[in-house]
Amino acid sequence: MERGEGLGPEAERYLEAAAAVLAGLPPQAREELLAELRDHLSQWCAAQGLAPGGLTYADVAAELGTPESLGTWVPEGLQPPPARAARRPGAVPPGLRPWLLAAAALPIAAAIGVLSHGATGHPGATPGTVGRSTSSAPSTGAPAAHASSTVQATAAAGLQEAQQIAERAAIQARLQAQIRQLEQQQGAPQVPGRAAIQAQLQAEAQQLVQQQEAILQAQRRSLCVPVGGGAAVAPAGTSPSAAAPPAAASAAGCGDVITAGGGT
Amino acid sequence: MLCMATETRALETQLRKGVAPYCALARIAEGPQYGYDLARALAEAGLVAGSGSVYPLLGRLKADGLVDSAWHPPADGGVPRKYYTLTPAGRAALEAFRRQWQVLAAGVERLLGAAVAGGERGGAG
Repeated sequence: MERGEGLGPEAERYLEAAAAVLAGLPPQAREELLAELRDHLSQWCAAQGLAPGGLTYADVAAELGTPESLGTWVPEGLQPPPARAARRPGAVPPGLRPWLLAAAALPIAAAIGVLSHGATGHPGATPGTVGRSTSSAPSTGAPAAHASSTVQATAAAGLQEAQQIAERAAIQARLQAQIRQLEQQQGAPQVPGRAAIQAQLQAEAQQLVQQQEAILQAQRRSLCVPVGGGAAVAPAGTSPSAAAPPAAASAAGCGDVITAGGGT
Repeated sequence: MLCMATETRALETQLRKGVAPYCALARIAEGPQYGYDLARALAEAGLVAGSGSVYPLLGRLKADGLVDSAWHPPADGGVPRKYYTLTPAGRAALEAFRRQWQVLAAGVERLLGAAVAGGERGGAG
């Protein structure tokens, strides 16, 4: 029998799991290792008087150890992430953390920018104007609607970027979860209902994306700030939207307005 | 209890990882070896959790330049197998390990023996 010829589906499943554990190795080294594992199984079957095609996953794991155990001999730095450190269920994969932090930080940074522009208004600013000037000449006060829409456009751009990052992060998280699940399936003998688990995973991943979307929507609403050192802050007892110029309120595509500090 | 078992396993793993490569070198030093026989020998000695672990270990020894390998048909014919031989660097590493192991094992034995003797005296007194 040639190397590996006739190994049954269960043994092949084990070898697939082993290949995943050994993914950090150079391709040639990995292929040679897998060829040796096939050869080993063939020899072991011959010694036991077993037919290679009838090997179960449990048989192979009993002889070779779990696929994960192969990873303990892969040099540090060459191990794929799942083998390097077992993560807690639900923990954010290390590679995703910067993305998620960036996604979380961008709207906050945009909000801080909006509020600080308003808070450091030019002394000459009057209600209904923005006291921030991009020229060296003292501002005489631009119409609030114009400046507000500029700042809100910047915030909207930041939000869009944050949203794209968050969507990428959600997709990556979903893929990571699926990969982990597959690895667990491959690492465990006789997992029933594989298709059902896949479907459930898909649904959960979809839910994750929807939750992310909801968070971003909430962030977007909270960022619709008509600015101007409190210029657009609604007087007590009036609706904030009454004090906000319509152009400003609609610039970022949302209608909610929060009352920024400094105006009372 | 679970924690204790986990710690014991971790200790066992670390001890194995420390000595298994050199035991593999020692076995290969006796003559060219192929994976199956080497894996069987190391597994029977309790040095690897499963025979499969021997293959990544051999790959690592090869990457470190301590062993060499080539596919040859076995003496009785049949399918070619991958045979491992020791390189000069592997031989030197094995000799260095032998020397260090003798010193280390003697020191550990001495301390463990003293601890056992002390425990017996304490129990008797």
